[in-house]
Amino acid sequence: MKRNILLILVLISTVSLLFAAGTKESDQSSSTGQGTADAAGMNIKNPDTFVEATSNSVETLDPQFMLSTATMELSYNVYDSLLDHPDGDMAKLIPSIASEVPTMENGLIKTESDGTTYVTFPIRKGIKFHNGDTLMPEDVEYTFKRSVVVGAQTSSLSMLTPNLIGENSFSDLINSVGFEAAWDTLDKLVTVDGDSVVFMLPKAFVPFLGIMADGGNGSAILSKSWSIEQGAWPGTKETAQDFLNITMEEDPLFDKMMGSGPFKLVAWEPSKRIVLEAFSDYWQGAPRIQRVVRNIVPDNQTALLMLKNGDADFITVSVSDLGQVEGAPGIKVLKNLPSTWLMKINFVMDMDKGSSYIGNGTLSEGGVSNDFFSDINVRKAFEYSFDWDVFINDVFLGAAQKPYGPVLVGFPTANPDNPQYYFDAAKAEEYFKKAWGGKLWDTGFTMTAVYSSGSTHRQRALEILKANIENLNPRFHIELASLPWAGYVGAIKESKLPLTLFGILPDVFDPYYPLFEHMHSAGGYAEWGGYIDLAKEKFDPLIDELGTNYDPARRKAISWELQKMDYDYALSIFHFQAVEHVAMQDYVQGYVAGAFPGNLDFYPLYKENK
Amino acid sequence: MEKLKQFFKNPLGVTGFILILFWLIVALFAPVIAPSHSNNSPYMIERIGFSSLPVPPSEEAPFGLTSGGYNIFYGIVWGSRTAFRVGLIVVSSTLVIGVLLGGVGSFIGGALDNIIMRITDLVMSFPFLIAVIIMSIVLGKGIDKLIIALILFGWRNYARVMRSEVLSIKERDFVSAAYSLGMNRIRIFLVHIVPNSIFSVFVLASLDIGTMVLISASLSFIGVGAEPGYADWGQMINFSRNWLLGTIDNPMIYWYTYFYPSIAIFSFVMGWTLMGDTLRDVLDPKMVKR
Amino acid sequence: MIKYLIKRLLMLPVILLFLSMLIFSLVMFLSPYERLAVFIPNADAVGSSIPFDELVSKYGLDKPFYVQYWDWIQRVAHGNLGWSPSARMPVADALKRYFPATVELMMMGGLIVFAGGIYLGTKSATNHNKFFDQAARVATTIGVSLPEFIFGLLLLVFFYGILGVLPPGQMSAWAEDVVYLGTFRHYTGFLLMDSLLNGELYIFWDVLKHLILPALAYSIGLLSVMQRIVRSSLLETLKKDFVTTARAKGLAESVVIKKHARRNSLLPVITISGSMVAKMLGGAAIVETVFNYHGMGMFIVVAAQGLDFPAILGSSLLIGVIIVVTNLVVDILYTILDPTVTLE
Repeated sequence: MKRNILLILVLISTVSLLFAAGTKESDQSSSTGQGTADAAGMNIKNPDTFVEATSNSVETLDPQFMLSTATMELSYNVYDSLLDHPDGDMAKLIPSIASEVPTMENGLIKTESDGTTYVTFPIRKGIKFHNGDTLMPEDVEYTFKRSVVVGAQTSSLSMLTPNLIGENSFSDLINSVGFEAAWDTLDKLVTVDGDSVVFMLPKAFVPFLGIMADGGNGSAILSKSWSIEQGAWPGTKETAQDFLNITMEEDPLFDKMMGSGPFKLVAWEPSKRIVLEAFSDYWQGAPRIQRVVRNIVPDNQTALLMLKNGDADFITVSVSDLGQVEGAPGIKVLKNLPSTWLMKINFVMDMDKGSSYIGNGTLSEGGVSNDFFSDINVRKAFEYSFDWDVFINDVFLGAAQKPYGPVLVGFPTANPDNPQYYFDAAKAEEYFKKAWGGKLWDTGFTMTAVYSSGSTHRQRALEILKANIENLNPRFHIELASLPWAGYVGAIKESKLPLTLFGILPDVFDPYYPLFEHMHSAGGYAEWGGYIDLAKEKFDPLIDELGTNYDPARRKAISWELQKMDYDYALSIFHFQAVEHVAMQDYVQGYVAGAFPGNLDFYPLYKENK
Repeated sequence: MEKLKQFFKNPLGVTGFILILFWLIVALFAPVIAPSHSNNSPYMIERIGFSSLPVPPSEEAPFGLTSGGYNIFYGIVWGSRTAFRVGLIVVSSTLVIGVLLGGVGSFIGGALDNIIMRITDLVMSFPFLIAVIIMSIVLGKGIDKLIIALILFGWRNYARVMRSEVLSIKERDFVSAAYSLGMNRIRIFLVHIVPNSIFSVFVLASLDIGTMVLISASLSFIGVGAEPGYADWGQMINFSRNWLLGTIDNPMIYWYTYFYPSIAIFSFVMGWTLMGDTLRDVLDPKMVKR
Repeated sequence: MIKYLIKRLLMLPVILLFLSMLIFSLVMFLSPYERLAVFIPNADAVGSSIPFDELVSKYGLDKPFYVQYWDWIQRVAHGNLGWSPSARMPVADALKRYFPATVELMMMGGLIVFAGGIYLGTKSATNHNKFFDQAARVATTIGVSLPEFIFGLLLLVFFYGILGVLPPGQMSAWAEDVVYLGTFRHYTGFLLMDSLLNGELYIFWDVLKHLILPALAYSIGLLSVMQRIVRSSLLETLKKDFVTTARAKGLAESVVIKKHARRNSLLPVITISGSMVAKMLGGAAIVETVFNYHGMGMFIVVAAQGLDFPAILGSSLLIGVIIVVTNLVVDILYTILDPTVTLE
């Protein structure tokens, strides 16, 4: 009996000690920038530190190798690029590291008769890197030469490279013309001319300036001296071949950042958090927030709790979690922010014959042939079977947009009057009856549609298709299966899936980008969808012209024509363009939604009660 | 007979039995209680619409719909079948494998024992989660793959426990007595060793049947296990995890998404546990009645 | 005894080798593209511009599996466990970082399970079928009847969401700053120990605070199992002859239990602790995700989902060593507790 009482006493004292220890943090000195400030009625936790909670992990800190758009939030804030956009206006270009925006009018863009284009960027003086070095034109030269040599994988750079050197990668160039010639091309590509940097493009490339204006994502300007110090490519001809295609572990810039942007990297704890600190010598003036902590929180329920407790200042909120934050005291929610993320259901016209997702592999009730989707009637039938209303209103609860076509809503030359598909069971039936010479309707078919585990929007989209199509004809069977992400990616690459659900996230605000990716033979989707030949014949000439012709009227005409052609050929079902919701503490000010609302620009942020 | 009477005298045992009987009836009569209207497998939960928000109970769906339009009532009814299937198949298989490998190995001793134990070590060392995750990448998701994985990795406990019991039992006097009486080894093993060493194993087994449901829930959390939309209580609990907190004004607004699956799991596990405990008490010949 | 120990320990590398071969052979079933997914995080927001073929050739994913295995074995022989793309650091570093965290979690959980389980089990057995026994049975059944993550979420909602104490993560933000950015010396890699060695008492308490909920969440289930095992084993032992003898000798009941019965009833407990260790590592994964506690569990799940073979192999080797050693210890303890059992 006595022992029990003793035990209970010990337990109680331990517990109270633990809770008491928790209050220590409010007494901590402000050497770490902590403490609470009392303003107009509300406690602002950590007034100088901004805490973001996200589930997106960071795969590398090297801006030339970032594959994930969410990771670019970091390079955006730590680095700068030659040009930039004013906040919230993706169409306009303003100078950044370059002191002037090159145009034909001011003579900084010059085209020769054979198409060779020279673009000159005068470099602003007095910009400092985080280690105090001054940014010189040599740094810009080094940055882009390096991106070619190491085979930069960021999507904007991988699109830039072929337009700079004529081949997809530097290794490819070496293979085709030999190292000497390849190096020669590279050398002449970017040169320093006094206080400016001159790019020599083999032919005009209209999105070029847009790529240079991503604010420090892919086209972040690196510091030559610092990078070489860390062990990156020394910048010389002799060493170039040692640095072709470096792996993550060989990349010295993988876990370090040295930029000229408003924030500098303090620490990276992989899979846990990243800490940034304000750079007081930032050429546009020091930021108001002194410190940024980007926490990785994989479970969204936990992140929501952190927001409500004040341990996080900002999170993105999924549609189903809105109810948990709307109306919460001290939290403001911004809804329906357009995001430049377009999802589509792609038809695969030429599948691997050994795929396990095509039933028995022949056009019969028990399967489909591997070229099932090569018949346009099948594709159109599927298009008319997708119910956008149910998808957008029930699944997304209204938080999505129906796209016009491959050019995203909100992009220049997007055509709201582009012919579109919509849900129409009668039309679907009509096309199914025409399919495969009229045989399909009587025979029926079976196929398996696959989504990646955990991806609800993929799952629901396929479920809607399945329900509507199976309703038309009892001999139509669409099974559903899920694969873990790794398996899904592998199956797509090996052309095993009849339908792939993958999207477009253009980094650059130019119609060339999405049209290239979706319709050009070299764009990625042509290979996945099995329409490379079609692309080469019909789409490539137009897309190539779109890339080289500066005339806005002509570009609009081409873009509109391509959008219509996508409708005519029914290459994919454009089922939604994303819209995002974010939630933050009431006292967070200065947030401007960018192209991806979840990617923050930390520079204008500050904490104040209003 | 005597034992059965003893079993039913124990109130806890009776409670357990009633619970399991209840679910057994539900499982057997599932097609009548919750008939399937589509031509998919009846194990795929019926859906009404695609709403991403749960829908409260109504006439059509007495327990409501969870996110994605899944009919909770349907899922609970057919989920009972899944629970029995997975639980019984896995536990009976692992029990037999484990008892045989662990028992025979330690009984015979020597090299055989060593080899079996090293294999057990090997299997034990292979982290279960990794194995299941990789298996689902290679083979795809689905409840049958889950059963295989659970059997492959589930027998080791039984083997080890059986082994430790047999090791101590076989040194006992009554065993040496049996040897000196000329009994052959097989008889000794089956008649003396096994019945005396099997109790701890039964305690384990009684909990395990219910545990299978819990494991499938955890695996759904990580993204492996049953196909999404399959009638599996564990999956349904996992579906409900986004709705635990409700909305700001009404934290309990989505109570039906987690209440019904929790009650189902809870009563199922409880039933087996109570039954198992009581069975153990009853089968032990040296039990003193109080 | 020593000979036995040596014999068992010599088997260790053999087992590990077999284990690694078994795991690596899975590569045969996978296409190289599936192993690329780890380089493409954030499943949703990705376009088609993934440089599949470049990545495959860069990382040698299309070489025959025995070539890849041989590469790996060679490196391990030189002490290099390779690079983990999912953790973005060398495998050895990842293990050094995440393993101690999980060990601390397991020790905390183990404390709850063993101390609580043995105590409650003993009490239940000695009050067989009386109120305490029945109540404990119900309580422990509830403990096993909910999946760990629900339990964890509920705990988090109650203690963090409603009460505002005991936040998720390994430690508070201010503590993280001191540990990772300040002059904190990492002597052992174990935060609890290091914080004491560094004289940072507040950090010690902070880490302890963050350990409680996750440890509770996943040990409740195991505690219940332990309680039942102890209870049933003790009940059996109490019926044995030597106990009756002890009672006949007139010894007090508490002495009978503590000195005689308990020792012998601990055998199944020892046995089960071997598999408990394995189970704890599994449970840790789920709980670690809910509480955002960065330990081995999370690391393994992420590595497995990304088919990050260097990480999978590295952690499996480590876990393999632990489990083999644990089983060895269990077997030895067994002979100590029950002298009639002999080592083979």
